[in-house]
Amino acid sequence: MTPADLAALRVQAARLGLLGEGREPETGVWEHAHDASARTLSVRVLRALGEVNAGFALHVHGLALGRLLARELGFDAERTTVPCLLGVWGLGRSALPRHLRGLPLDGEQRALLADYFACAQPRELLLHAGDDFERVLLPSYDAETDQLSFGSYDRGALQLRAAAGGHAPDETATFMLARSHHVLPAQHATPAHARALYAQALGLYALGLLAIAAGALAQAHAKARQYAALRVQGGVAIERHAAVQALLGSTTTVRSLSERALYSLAREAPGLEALPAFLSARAELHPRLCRASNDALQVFGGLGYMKDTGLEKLVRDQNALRVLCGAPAQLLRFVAEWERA
Amino acid sequence: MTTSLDGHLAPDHALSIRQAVQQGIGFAAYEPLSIWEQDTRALPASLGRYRRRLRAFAQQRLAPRALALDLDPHGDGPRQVLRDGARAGLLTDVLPWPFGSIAPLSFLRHPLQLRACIKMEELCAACGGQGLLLGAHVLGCAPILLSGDLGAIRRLLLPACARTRRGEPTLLAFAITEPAAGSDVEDGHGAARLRPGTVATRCPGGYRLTGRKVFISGGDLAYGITLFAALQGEGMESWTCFYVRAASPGFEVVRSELKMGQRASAAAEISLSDVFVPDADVVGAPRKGFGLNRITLNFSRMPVGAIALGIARGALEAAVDFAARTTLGGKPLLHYQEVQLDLAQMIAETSAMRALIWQSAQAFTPTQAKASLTKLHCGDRAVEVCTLAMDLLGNHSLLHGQRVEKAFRDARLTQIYEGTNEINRLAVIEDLQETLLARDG
Repeated sequence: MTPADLAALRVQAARLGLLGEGREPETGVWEHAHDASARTLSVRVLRALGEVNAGFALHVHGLALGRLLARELGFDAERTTVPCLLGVWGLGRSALPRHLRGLPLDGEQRALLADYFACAQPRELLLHAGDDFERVLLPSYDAETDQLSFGSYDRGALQLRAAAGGHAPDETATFMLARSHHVLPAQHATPAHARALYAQALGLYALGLLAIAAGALAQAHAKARQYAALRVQGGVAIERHAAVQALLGSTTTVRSLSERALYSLAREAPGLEALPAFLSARAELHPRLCRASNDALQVFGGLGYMKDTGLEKLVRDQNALRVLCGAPAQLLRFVAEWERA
Repeated sequence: MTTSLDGHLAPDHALSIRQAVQQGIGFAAYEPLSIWEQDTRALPASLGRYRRRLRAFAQQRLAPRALALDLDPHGDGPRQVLRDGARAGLLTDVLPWPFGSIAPLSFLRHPLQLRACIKMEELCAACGGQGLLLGAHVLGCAPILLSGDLGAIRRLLLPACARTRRGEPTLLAFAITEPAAGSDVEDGHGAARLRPGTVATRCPGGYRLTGRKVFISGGDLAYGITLFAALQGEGMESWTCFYVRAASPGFEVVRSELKMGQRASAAAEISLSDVFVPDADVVGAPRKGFGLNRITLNFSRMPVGAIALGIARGALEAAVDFAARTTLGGKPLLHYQEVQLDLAQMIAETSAMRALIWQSAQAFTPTQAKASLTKLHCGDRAVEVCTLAMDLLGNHSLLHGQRVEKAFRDARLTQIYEGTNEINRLAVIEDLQETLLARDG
């Protein structure tokens, strides 16, 4: 999918009301993130998109989140904007959870957080997005004032280069991003508001990734079920073999668990209070979603490993979704530190 | 240079492990060595030298082209791998010198599959696909060697080795899988009900073969293929091993698959339309093919475990590299305990895999149970190690140059080929059924 294809699909998605513009803006993903029904609808939309194409779903998710943040921060929300929430590695160890909770950081933690957001010295961050955006929303941290803030930058104002052969979903790209030294972060929120917005964005980012992953597993499961009913081995359809039943049972179970968790989480208002729940759910469920997708591929045997059946892309996409917004072990440590704080 | 990691005592500290062992009794003392070095020194001298030589070859010849070949496996890349491998003796290490490249004493002293396991780990630590390309050649040679048919070895293997030594890398491939039969040809129970798709019809002087084979590693570049077909009008019991020359009229490479990983080695689909195979190119005897296939898999499944181990070790090494050069808060990630814990887990996993492989491969006659359990365990654990490596790197793992996402895709195939891990679990039980029924598991 070329950037032009992605842009054309994005325009169609906007016309359908999935991206907050168009005839029915209230149906836009994350457009009314404070309303439980609207959040549930957003989750359903991302899940449905994920069931067809996880990469495009991720692109819509990123644009919608960027639009929400831009509006909340008073930036121009009509320009296609993607957020780059994470820092150089992981989730900022103990410093980020403590800071989001409004707790004081010692000197070492402040220095780490500034380094994490690439504010202390020139460092590259990674941005995973469809190559169809005009602006990037970047958090910044000032170690001297112990304050988080956001800036919205034209992509031309940033040193942005696409990494060759990246392994985010095929429809998206991985960019190496560096702040230009002359670009200063804008201040469109109080420090407390910035922390709350960051927590909200991180939580919604996690929720959206789960929704997309649940959709991708649904596709994998359907393919595996269909194939297992047709493929004969040893004189019987393989769906009757215990080994295949174990694989299919795994995908069914994880599908069911993840969907229940998803819609339960969608009813929680995103923000500081709910953030541990969102991240815990991702930490626990996403590895299981990956294993279940792998099990679906395994039903196909050698065919599943080849591009033709589409299973290998689903497994690759699940892997990519798992490590965005913090890998499972990083999420667990974040949650533990959040509780300790 | 920093002399210790955060959270650990420096080697010169009075309470450090280094001081403790140096002050201990003689046999308790040891110098700091990598796991790789410790394991290599534990091998018999000739195998240790072999391991070192392979590692050097892999690092110098395979690693530099691994990432590029993963993105674009077409073109001359794979042929260059074969040329380099041939020059290093890796296409002739199935026979002792002067016919092949194995030292005669070593050939007699050490099981072939142990050498194969050491080789596959080293090659695949650099690149799973290139390792497979070179390693699948031994799989192609295996039925000929294991048939015990000295005539076939003389007629088929010696010329192949001679061609390679003359500078024409000569690859053999192994072909059993058919479009309608994957697991069925790896498992007796399934095979008993299978109607074979590739059939050999008797004709003057030999046989004419018709049918298709799929997912043949190296099938696009092979000079010759040890290929299995049933005799006309008979079932799987008549399976016979034929040596099919790729230049034969009627032989065609129909396509190469677009694989998820191990891309440097193509998985080819080949078509046979009345391909003539002379009697001299029947490997073993007619109707002995299924048994020969099963024995071949007994010898090949442990090296597949070693492929998995090699790929996992490559992911571990990439993770260590990443942790050593990536900093946060002014120090390398290697200093953070959470990173150390993950690395330690990967080290433990790969060491356990290696111990299983080397122990299993000690037997000159591998059993199906040992071969299958080694393959399935190592395949499953390799995928877990690669997943852990991806998680350690986080979103950096999605950068191609970090190598761990490629390692995952490469490792994933080890849960499928040489029999899916589900089939291999059943193979363990099949081989132990007499003892299990006698309550002697």
